[in-house]
Amino acid sequence: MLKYVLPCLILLVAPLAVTLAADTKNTPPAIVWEKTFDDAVTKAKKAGNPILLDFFAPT
Amino acid sequence: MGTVTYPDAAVTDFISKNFIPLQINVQSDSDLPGKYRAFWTPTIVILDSMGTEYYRFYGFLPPDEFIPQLQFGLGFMSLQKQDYKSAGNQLKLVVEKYFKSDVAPEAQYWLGVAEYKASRNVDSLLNAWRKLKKDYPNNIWAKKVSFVKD
Repeated sequence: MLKYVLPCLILLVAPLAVTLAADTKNTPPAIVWEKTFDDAVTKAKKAGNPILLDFFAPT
Repeated sequence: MGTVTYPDAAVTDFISKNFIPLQINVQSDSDLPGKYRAFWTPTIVILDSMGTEYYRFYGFLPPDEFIPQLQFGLGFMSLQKQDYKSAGNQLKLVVEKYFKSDVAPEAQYWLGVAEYKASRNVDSLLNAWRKLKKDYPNNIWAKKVSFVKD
């Protein structure tokens, strides 16, 4: 029985795994937001970059 | 912003390369909404590394307008810091790379100012403003230089 089920399972799962791997590969890295002003200022001074401050309201 | 603009690959790349991103929930107990007068969301503010504000805009923008706004903000910050060479380079990027964006006419206006401040050559200012009148004749920034003779 297992001899027949296993190849079927592989046939079902393999394309899904390939699709998921491709999706992960194509997903751009998300923006890493700082959560506190002090952390942002510390990193901005170290990097020499300005701060992009986004005020948002959760929906 | 969180579902359309920020997940966009070009936006993520631009922000990661040019800024330290900081996100504050206005409903949290943070004192930043009060400090920076955030009365509406989204409010986007560009600060230098000391926390001094140099540029802001309000409301949702899609990626093809958001990136030019950020690029403009970088140039406008350099202009206010009197780094005219950097301002010129940043603002030129807006008018050349994002020519069709809504912020491009304002960038062309300030590009003239940056070039004039860097060179003290009034012709560079007038030529930039003539270009503004020619390229964006109906824009309010063209009206601000409508006194310049062709």
